[in-house]
Amino acid sequence: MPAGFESILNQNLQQFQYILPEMMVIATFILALIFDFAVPHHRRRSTAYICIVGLIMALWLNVQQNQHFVDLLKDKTGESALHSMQQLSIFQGMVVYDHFGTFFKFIVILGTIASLLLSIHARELFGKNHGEFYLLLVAVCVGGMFLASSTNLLMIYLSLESLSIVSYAMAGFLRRDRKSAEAGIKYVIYGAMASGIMIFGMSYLYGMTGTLNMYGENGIAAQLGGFQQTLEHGSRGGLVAVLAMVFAGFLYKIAAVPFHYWSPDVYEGAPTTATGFFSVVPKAAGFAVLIRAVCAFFPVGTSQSHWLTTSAVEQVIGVIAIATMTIGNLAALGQTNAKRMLAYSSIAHAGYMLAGLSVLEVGKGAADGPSSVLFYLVVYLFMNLGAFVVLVALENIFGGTDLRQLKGAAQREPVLCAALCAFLFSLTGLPPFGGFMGKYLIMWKLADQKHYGMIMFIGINSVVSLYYYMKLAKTVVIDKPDEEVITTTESTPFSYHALALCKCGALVMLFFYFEPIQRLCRQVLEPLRF
Amino acid sequence: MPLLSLFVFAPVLGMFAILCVPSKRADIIKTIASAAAAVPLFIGIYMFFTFNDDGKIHYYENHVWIRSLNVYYKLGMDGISAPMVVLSGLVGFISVVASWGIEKQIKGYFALILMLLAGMNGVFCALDFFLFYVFWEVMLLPMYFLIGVWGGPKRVYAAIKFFLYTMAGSVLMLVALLAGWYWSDGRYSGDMPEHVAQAKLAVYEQHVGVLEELKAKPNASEAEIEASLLSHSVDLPNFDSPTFQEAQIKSLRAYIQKFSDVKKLKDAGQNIDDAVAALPLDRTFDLMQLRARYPLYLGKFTLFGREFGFAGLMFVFLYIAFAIKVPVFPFHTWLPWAHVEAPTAISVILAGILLKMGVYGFFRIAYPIFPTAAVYFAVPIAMLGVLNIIYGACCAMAQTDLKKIVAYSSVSHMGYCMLGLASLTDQGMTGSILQMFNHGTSTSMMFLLVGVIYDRAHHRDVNKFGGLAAQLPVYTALMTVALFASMGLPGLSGFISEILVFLGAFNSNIGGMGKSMIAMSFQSMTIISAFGVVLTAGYLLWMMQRVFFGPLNEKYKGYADVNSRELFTLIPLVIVVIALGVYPKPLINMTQKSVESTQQHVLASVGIDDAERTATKSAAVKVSPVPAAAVTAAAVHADAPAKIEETATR
Repeated sequence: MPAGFESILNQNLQQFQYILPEMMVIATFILALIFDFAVPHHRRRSTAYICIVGLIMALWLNVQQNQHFVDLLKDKTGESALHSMQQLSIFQGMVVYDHFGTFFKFIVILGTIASLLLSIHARELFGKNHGEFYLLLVAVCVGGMFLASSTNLLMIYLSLESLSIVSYAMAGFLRRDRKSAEAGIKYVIYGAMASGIMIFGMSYLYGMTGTLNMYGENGIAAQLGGFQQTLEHGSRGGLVAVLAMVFAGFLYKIAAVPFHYWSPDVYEGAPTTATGFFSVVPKAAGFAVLIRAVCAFFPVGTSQSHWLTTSAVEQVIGVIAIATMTIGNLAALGQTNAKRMLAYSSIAHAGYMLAGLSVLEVGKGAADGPSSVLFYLVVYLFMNLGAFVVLVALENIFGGTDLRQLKGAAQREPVLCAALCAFLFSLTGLPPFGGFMGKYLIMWKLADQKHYGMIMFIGINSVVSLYYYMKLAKTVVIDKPDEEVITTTESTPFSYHALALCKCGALVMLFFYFEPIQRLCRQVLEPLRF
Repeated sequence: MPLLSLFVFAPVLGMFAILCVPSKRADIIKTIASAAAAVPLFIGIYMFFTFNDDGKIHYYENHVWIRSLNVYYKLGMDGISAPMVVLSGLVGFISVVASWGIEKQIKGYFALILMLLAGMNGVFCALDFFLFYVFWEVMLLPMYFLIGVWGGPKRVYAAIKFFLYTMAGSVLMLVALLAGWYWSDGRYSGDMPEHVAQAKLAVYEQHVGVLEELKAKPNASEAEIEASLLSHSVDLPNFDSPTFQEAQIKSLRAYIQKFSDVKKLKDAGQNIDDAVAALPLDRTFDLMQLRARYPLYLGKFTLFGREFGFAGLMFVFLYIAFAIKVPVFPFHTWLPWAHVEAPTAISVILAGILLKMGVYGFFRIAYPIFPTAAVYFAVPIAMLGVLNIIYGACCAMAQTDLKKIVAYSSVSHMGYCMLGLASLTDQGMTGSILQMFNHGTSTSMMFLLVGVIYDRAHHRDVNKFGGLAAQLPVYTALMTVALFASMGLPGLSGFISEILVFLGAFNSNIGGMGKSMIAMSFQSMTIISAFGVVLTAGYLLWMMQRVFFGPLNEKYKGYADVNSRELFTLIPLVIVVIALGVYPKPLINMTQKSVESTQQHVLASVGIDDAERTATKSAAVKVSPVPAAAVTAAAVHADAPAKIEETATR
């Protein structure tokens, strides 16, 4: 055995300490899998509790590893501690241990825990091996966590696939249901296509640069930065095409226009719990890798000599953002199914976030779009999942999410419907909810760069979105119940109320007291700046 | 005691209390709601009797909310907000009491109405643009459900229409808010150093009070300095912001030092220009500071590749945002729907308070911050106001639904406010404020009275009534007072405000855009709008005739007259309407100084010295050239006339 190999092995084994949360989630997955086999069918809800306990432990590990996150939330003293910790490349540059990744791990784990709580009592999953569903959720969680911190093209591809392939199974989980099966198949076909394009682009990138690592001295980022504006015209076009292919894969994951066609059908067909999960967790992971790649490939400050100017990149992202939010909102207007409506609305929200990403100037004092995107993701985690909590609870009662079925739901579930209204207002971007602050911060960054036209687009889109959100609010609160709709007499489990109210409280908190989170969002981006 | 915080948040406390009461205990809920609404009422009454306007901010409260965005929790009251505070307290309480008859989902109703009151009270007290915006938006949410759930047959359509219209306006306001914030440190006005210096001097003048205070205690701690700064409406230096990074100011003490340097020079009688230039200028949302910093907004900026005068465009955005609320003619279509479909108490709030928020927004934000644009657009604004008066009155005449008549009469009456505002004379603007107050009381009365008859007859069709005077004498008497007040009969409150508006508008001769565009002066507009009074008398008297006189319809025999709860809501309004009609002085005193200061601020921005003008009232004609930069900068297209004629008044 060569000596070099041994040292690398030792190094790798030591570096396992940095991915303890991931290891914890994987251990949970294995334990829950064995447990699920062992217990009789009707006891399999317990699997979910095991998963939740495991994920909470992973969350705790994540906190333990990053104590200064907590310090930073408390006051400003944590800032210096966070500064001193930059990036730590581990496993030969396969993944990186940095605050950016940690931040997204928090989001992914929190989203998964909420989705698990959501699916325990979801009626649509009963008697359909629901134990497996919890396992799938945990598996996606692992993929998302790795995706947030991977810096090697191969690793990005692997974690993206582990995220996607499990998602396909979740989308088609209700095999006997035609729509669910359709959703699964559609997701597979679109997903495979997108992955194919992405890895094709990656192979070219590898051919051009000779490395798969993004960071490092000879990493792709450094080499791309080395290309001068004088790059020969033909090869510059080729490079742009290659990058476009790679980014197509990421944009597919966040369902940005024109890679959004899969999402309404998948979201509608998939079990509602899965839809809620899809609209938040994989999207957040997708944004993680997108922001990381954008910050790495198009560094700011070299805009003049760089072969691709920052403003050009900003313009491309801006156009995609405008198209995404507009198409998402316009398509949502005509929907009669709440689930599908929220699917389109989540496309629109991806558009708002991309708008934030179109202000790349990072640095002290200057506009810092990506940090507003991170803040928006936190808010979005609460408001969109919150809306889905209520939707799942209502589906349990009314047997579906058609607006026709949900009429007058407030008479049956006043608290949940009040919470739903709060989530919808927040999604529209009205105070006193976090959604307003999220949108405001994005506009704020845009205004700093005088992108007033973009602000107008966000504003107009908010007004458009108001209409369909209010249509849903009207349906549940104002309309009279439809006599023909068959409802269950079972009362809604307390966990739904608790979850919805917690999220409501969090949203109000995020409005009045958002500064710590905003500070955190700014700080975790530090390591991505070159 | 933080009186204004109590004014704003007492309803919120009431809301939370109501949410804790089980929904079956309707009596407790109603009591809590009334008690929570009574707090603003008492504060309003207290203000009415004690508030003495001197053009300054009173009852000031200032706390840090979001340091990194320079957002503060600033409440305060001057002569412009004082009448609105009184009105809001009064009408808010009355509408809560008037809602006791609600039978459907009482808990939700009263919780929402209290939230609505909190939002509206907040709008009238906020002195921070961001806070203002938040209160403005918070109010939309309960309104949607109050119309949508408890309204009439077409309530859903009315509610969403109201919501969409207002939201569209809010978005424009948000753009102005953001852009205004970014321009408020003068970074984008770099090519106009004299404007920046002017703004800095204004900031410095704010600090003088603090410096005096700090001189008294030289060993003040940082916390004490912070407290003094806040109490003087001075924003704390924001160390995150680039301006202060550059200035290398690392503590409040150093910040203060910069200002005391200027003071020393000034006390020594030396030239302070250079010292002022070195003063730091941070971005702010403070409405008082933005008012002082208006010269910073005289630059140009690009939108969609075209160049615009910043002040002009932002003024247009704010105009649309506020005009939707007022509502001004092309944006008024939500109003008849919302008023007609809303339950009685909500109609009262809509007409009595909500519409005033729009005009108040002009007084508080659009006019002081973009004064040059206000002068430039004076004639178009006045023209739309006149259009409101005539169009609203004509529409009201054509209606047969009692509530629609009252709704369109609101459109017409708000036109007077706009006309008075646009005239930019002290009479006109005072009249505008008075008109807001008086319209608030008289229209509230009319809506309450329409509600009374609707409760009995279950319809509001004018033509189906007749001869009610014989059956309901007290009701008829009350309605007569309300109608005559609304018509502007001398001795009742509407008269004095309308006459002030007409006087002011007739005397006004502000130029700007319309002056050269069309030969239409304020005089002719005043004459046209005076016909509005005739039309008002026409539709109101005609309505009265159809409802109260003629043979009594057999159906209505046996109807009970106004009951004690209804009287309880109506009598205070009757007293106010008559008292202010006979003796309007308290209300005028309450508002006059602040209005004058606003008016002079606006006129001074284009170089018209109003004090001088009043002094030389007898002079025949006086033409004063105006700084060309000021007017053209306000223009959306830069081809505006550079002169403003000033004709002496009669």
